[in-house]
Amino acid sequence: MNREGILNAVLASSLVLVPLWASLSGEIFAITLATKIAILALAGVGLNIALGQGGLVSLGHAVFFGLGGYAMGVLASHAQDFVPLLEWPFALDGTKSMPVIWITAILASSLAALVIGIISLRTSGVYFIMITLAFGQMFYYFTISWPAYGGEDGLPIYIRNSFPGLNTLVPLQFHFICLALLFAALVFSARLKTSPFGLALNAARQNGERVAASGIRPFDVRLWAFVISGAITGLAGALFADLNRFVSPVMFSWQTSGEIIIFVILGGVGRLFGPVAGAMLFIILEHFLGDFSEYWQIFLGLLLLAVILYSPGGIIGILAGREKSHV
Amino acid sequence: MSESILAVREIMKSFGAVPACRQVSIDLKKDEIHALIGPNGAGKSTLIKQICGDLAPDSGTIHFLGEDVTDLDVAMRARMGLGRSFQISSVISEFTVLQNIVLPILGKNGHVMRFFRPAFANQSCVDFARQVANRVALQDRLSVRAGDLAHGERRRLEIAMALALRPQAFLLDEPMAGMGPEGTKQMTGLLRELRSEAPILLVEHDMDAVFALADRISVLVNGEIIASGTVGEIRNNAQVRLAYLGEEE
Ligand SMILES: Nc1ncnc2c1ncn2[C@@H]1O[C@H](COP(=O)(O)OP(=O)(O)OP(=O)(O)O)[C@@H](O)[C@H]1O
Ligand SMILES: [Mg+2]
Repeated sequence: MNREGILNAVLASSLVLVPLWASLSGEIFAITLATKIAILALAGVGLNIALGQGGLVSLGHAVFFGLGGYAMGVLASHAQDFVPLLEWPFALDGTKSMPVIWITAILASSLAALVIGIISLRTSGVYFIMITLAFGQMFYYFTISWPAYGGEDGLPIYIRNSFPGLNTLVPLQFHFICLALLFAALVFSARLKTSPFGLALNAARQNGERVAASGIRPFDVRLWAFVISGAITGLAGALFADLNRFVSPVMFSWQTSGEIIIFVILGGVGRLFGPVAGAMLFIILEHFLGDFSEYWQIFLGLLLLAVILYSPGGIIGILAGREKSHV
Repeated sequence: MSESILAVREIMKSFGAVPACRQVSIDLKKDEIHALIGPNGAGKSTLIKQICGDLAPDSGTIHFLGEDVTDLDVAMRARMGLGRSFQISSVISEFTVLQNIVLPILGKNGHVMRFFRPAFANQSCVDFARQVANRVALQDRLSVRAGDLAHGERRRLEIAMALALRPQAFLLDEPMAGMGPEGTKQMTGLLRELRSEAPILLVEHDMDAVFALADRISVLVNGEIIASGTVGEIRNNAQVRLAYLGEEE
């Protein structure tokens, strides 16, 4: 195994072992922290497909994160209030089942990514960043002004949703659900990278003109990458809402988009475990420095600046060196 | 008369008030090398870009393999077998030589929407890519990043990427540009071999190479084809000498 492989294994096993230790020693809060890392890393794994592999700097991934969150919020609130979601043209009840909620979150965010992608992928560079940001703001203000699901105050869900065969109220069990999904997304992302699609996506990031001359439409490749990316971030949104048992418009805010980008850049753009390393560092810093000073984000800013200036490969780049070509 | 693989009819193209193509018609027939020459700014690259779909003509039509492709996009024309090199080398610079060559094979086969199996697990695809690399003498450079190649090698890689499409026609925009005499000689030999694969529409400034390779030559000046004929005819054409070849003496 090369150095990056070892590093990845260390990161992955720490997300397994630390919560196990925490559970044995009754440090419930540490489990919650690890779960938060796993979920935010999952959101970053989604973004990393668009940003790292496709070079698409989306400042609108909060849309997918938020849609995932509200998919959970809307379905679960109808279920907890015993109010049907729809009575016409057919009766549809809410649900407290995680798998159903996840599928809904994935479908909603893919659909949004498809529409947003079709519109925004016609532009590139700063215009792409601004359009994706604008979509994020649209969703943000829409949820603030839409009173049915809590509006600005957000929407609490009183009991965590259920997963067949498990007790999701036990923090360790919920953690392993989230971790399993993160690992699945990482495996998928790794496979994607070396697949024909991944090759075309990486090529389109570098030279769209040449990709087109090779018989491949760069637009199509980017669009599918954006949809896949949005779907994964949407799934993370549903889990995040379940972790907090609360959704609010903040999930749609541009700060959320910015934080997901920070995970990816801190960890290493395009590196498989970059979002994991990035989310881990972010959450740990937030936890410890946040206690120490309200201005912890100044330190974060300095760190981010240092990474961008001195190590474009992020933490993974510092610890594991330059990426090996995947052939 | 042999059939036209490529038939351009009365193409007009202006950039604002600047006309770059005025009623250009040109053919590429089976098994031929058709050279397109003309001074800088004559509109040669603009014509190539319209044939491959980068630019849309203001009016006129382009037929490829008997089909009207005027409204098809670049990728569709490439999949039909229009292999191309750019005036300024255009490769995927972070990719290895082999990855670069695999890309158009995936495009041609329509294998891009495959998300799980590694591209390089497809043995027939990789074998074909190696074969193509052999033909352009890059077999020893397969795992070198395209960005690290020497200029001449990068030029040959572009030819390989066109070859990997199993093309029905080549559009080559100044493949010898920036090459030394040795590189030009090697490229001339390579193009001569490629002719058996598919006909070539060759834009080139190197007159020795053009006269050595071309079956037919068309001369583009100011967006207009002012002469078209065999090497002998063009050499002796007074108008061409005045407008173009005269400058070279
Ligand atoms: N995108 C563009 N916008 C505006 N004008 C353009 C554009 N592309 C080309 N032109 C103009 O069209 C004319 C033809 O340019 P073109 O590049 O086709 O010439 P060329 O024959 O390929 O020249 P060279 O031998 O230098 O490559 C030139 O006057 C050029 O300035
Ligand atoms: Mg030119």
